[in-house]
Amino acid sequence: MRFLHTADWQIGMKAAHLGEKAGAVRRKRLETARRVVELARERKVDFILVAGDVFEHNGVSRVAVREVARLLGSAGRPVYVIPGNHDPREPGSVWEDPAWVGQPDVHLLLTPKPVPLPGGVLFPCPGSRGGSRRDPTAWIEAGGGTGIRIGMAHAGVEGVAGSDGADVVGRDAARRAGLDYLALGHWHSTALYEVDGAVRMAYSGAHEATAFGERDSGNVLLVEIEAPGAAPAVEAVRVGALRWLRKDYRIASRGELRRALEDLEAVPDPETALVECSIRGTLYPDESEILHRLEQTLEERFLLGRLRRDGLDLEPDWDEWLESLPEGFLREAARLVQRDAADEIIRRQALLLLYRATLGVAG
Amino acid sequence: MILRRVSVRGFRCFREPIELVLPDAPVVVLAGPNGAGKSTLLEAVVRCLLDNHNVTGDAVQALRPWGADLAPEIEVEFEHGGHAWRARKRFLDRPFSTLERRAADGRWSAVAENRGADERLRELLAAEEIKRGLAKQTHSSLLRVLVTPQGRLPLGSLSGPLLEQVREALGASLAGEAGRKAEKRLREVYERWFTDAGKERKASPVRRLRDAAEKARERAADAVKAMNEIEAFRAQVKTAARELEAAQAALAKLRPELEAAGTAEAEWKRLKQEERLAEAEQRAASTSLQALEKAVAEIGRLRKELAERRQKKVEAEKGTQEAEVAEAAARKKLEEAEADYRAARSREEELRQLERRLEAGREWQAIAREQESLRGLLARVGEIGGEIEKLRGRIAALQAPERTTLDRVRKLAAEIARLDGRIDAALVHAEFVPEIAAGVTVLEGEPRATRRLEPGEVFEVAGEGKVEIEIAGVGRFRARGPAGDLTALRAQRSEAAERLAGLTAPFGASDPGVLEQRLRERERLEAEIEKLETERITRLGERSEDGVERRLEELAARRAELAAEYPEWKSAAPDLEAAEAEVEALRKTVGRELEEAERRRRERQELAVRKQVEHAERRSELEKLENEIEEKQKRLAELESDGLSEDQRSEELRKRKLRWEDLTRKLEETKRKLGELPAGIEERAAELRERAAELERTVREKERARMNAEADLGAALRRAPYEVYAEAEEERNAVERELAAAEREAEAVRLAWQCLAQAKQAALGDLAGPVAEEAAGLLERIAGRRLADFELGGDFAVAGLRPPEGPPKVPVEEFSGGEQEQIHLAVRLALARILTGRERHLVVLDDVLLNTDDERLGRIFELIEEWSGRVQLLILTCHPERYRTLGAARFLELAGNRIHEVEAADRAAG
Repeated sequence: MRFLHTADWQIGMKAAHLGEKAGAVRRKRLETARRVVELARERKVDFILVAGDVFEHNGVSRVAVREVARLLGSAGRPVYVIPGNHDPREPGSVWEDPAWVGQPDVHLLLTPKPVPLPGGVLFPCPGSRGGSRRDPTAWIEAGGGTGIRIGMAHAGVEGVAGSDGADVVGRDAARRAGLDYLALGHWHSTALYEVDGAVRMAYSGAHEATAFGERDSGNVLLVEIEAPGAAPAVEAVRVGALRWLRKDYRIASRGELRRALEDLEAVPDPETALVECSIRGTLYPDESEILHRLEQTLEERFLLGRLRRDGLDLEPDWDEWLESLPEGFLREAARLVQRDAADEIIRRQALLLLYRATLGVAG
Repeated sequence: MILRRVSVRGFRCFREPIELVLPDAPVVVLAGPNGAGKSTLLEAVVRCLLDNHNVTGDAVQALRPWGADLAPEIEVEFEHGGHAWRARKRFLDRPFSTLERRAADGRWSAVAENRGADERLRELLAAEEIKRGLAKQTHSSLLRVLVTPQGRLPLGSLSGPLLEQVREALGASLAGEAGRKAEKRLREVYERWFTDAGKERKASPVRRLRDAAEKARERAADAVKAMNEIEAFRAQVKTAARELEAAQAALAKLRPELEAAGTAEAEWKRLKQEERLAEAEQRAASTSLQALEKAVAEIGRLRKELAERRQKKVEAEKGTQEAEVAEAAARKKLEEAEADYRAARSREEELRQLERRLEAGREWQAIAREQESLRGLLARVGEIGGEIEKLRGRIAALQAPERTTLDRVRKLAAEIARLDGRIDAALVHAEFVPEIAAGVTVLEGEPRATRRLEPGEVFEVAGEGKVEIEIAGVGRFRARGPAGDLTALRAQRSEAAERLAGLTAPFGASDPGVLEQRLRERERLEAEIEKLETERITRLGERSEDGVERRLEELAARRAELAAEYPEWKSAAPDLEAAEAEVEALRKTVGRELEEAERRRRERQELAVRKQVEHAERRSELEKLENEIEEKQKRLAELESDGLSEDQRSEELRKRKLRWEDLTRKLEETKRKLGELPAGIEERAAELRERAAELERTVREKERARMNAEADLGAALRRAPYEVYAEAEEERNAVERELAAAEREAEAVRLAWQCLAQAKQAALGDLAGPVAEEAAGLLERIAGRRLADFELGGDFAVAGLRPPEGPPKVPVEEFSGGEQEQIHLAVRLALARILTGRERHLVVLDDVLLNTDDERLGRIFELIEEWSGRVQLLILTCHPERYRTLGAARFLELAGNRIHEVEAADRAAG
């Protein structure tokens, strides 16, 4: 038995922190879902398991629902889908959309009832909204029947941080339920759980990362189980196209800011990169122009570029800069700014404005 | 600004063109005698640089040369800001203005024309806008300080925009050119965000982003609302489904109970129907039994009553016949009494005839009396008429005037007497009484006669105006008196006499006394007539004589009528007393007879009525009995119409009683069965049915509610609320982030600008200090010792000086005339040094150092020469020899409308 395990596509995902780039990220998630289906065809899997949260919300556009239904229906093999906590079964849910009716290969498993698989049986455990901290696999009885026993649930794992507010399965859920493999959805990073030396439970993770800081998202799992009780062979395959990069630079001497700029300019495929850049340390007034260019690079070069410069300090070279100012009220004005600014960021910006004015740089 | 060339034509004293070319020297002395036009040339420069070319008014008209209608034309070449400029202006006639700049190849190229040229020039010279009239050099901060006109060396207080300009200029110098540029750049940045008043600009990015953020927030809030709405719809769907399920369960639970209640109700209804039928049958049997019992009883009673009524009818018929006979007898007696009564009434007619005759007799006699009286009246009235006629004849014969006429006669007579008096008084009277006899002839006057007078005889003469008499043997005597209106008086008198004659002519006498007497007699006769008239009226009363005669005729006619009716009265008058006695006797007899007949007739009438009533009563009683018998016979026939015999009827009665008893028992049995059933079966079944219907309704409603909620939910979801929400949130986030950055930037811009303004203000506040310091240094150089420290106000006016050894503060006026010149010059030069900055500028002194001694003047020259790299000094003077020691100076002389340079040798000679 060979199948593809994926989850947490979260089609229609809101990404307020991405601002105007959120639309592009959403489109990318759908494209990557297409890539997942292609992969299933390429690798000739028997079926596909989608372990919940296909959609971000039950209120997503019906166009998106139809697109996903068509996409899953085009896989050319059975696709088994359970609702997650984002798209639970409820009145008006995406699962009521008529688009699913025309896709005979797509099986929406909305209730916990065993479903026969080619060569085995599938125990679906649909997710619920809000989470009740119950174990959704509790209903599966160990033993009985023949063939490979596969479970599919949308839940956290007991005792692991980040499972708050969701249904949770015990770490021994696969063993307790007599499952050969328990396909999980909910966490966005790939995670495999071994029981007695074999991977019996795994999170495929989201096919595309959803935020900065996700450890290992952007994968699907290809699983092969030869016979009941045999150890599953699990292969993580990268499908995610977006790169969520965090760049931290500490500027301690002249020239380092320029090097940071060069580093950013060297990032490959910038059109698929989302960059969160943080600069700390000292800004030398004569390098303020480089800072300006760095800002422009972030803004113009990447799919998303964001700069945090709260940690940037002008202080160490202030005296030097002050001395460089022509004698008179300009210098006094700079002193006043330094003295009166209530806020560090504003102080820095105001000083830079004065500095640029003296250099003849456009404000 | 460095002045290179000035060309003037048609300007004040310069009718013909004149050109001043300034040699390239640090000091140029333009010398010329008083009135040569030195100051006029300086004014021409100010006009050309500051004035609007199209200025109008008396002041600009005064620029024309005296007595010539020429348009003033000025051309000034100068250097400023590293460029050579040429300004040309013509005023008044076809005015124009041009500003040109010399290019690298030496050719002039136009920079601006007319108004543009005027404005650009002022801009170059830091001058304010000229709204109307001619400009003053004080309109330009530069010229105000750098050009010192004749007799106006003290700079005085600077104020308003000018002070600001000076401060600006000084302030710019504080931070140098770089500072000025930096300030300008920062201002440009500031003005993108804020207005001069410090308010946010409408076009500022913050404002735009704030609006965008507000809209984005609204959109996000709307999206959240839509999401909440979906949750609400979803809750509605769930609630409706739950309620539907509950209603369906309740309905299912109710159904068996409803069926059992239905069966019990059917049995109860069947028994009830049976009971209703039994009751109806029993009621019918009872009615039938009672009817027969009643008929049997009534038949018996009717038979008995009929026998009784028939007996009574026989008796009643007999009584009716007797009453009829009695009524006929009474009617007959009544008829007799009626006849008697009519006979008595016929005697009444006889009495009425007698009474009419008596009345006619009385009238006959009254007529006779009235006729007599009226005839007496007519006789007396006739007599009175005769007497009146006689009296009227006597009045006519009297010829007496009317009272008014007599009054007018009297008035005229008095007028004539008055006129006679006045005529007499108007005459000259002379009275002559001779002592001896004398013959007198009146020559003038009246009487005109010759008379012989006796001794003592009085002779009077009267004349009009004069009298003249001749006394024989004595001479003529002439007397004159007043001549006047005698003729008029006589005419008046004659007229009065004529009028009197005319008035009295009808009476034959003109004496008022006679006429008065006649009038009185007439009045007496008229009084008599009136008395007679009064008597006649009294006698006749309201009647007229004709009326009395008509009445007499009527009386005669009536008497004739009466005589026709009673002819015997023609011969003998009626005897009224006998007639009255006869009438009275007859009246008594007739009254008695009539009363008796009346009484008898009334009695008979009453009797007849009584008998008639008795008869009618008997007849009525008989009719009643007959009706009763007929009625009862009819009823009996009805009752016996069943055709049954009495026995048969008894048998029928018994049968009916048995049936009734049977039905009563059956009814009681049904009632017993009903009584055994539980109470309220029907109500219970109805209640259950009602509950079931209610539940069915609820099921339908809940189904509908669920469908509606599902439809609402579906419609809301079709709008992709989450997608809308996601996009709105993303947009809001992006805009808010941008806004926060813009707000920070705006705050930084504001802070930078405010700090700059604050620093500059503080620096400007301290400007007077450096200027005072500079001036004190210059004054020390000029005086050769530390003369005093300056105290300058914020407006750069000299508030006083502090001599090192003297009192704390001394006013300028307490210094000598020469020192005052030097003090003011020092302030000007100190300001000029700061104002001019790095740019070289023209400094003009127009005959201002008149009281400065040569030694100090020499020191001033030293200073000027030291500054030669920074200023171009133009000295206008009529004492060029004072400046001969100025080695760096070149001398020009203005004389006879031309300017020429004076060589050193000439200077020395001068």
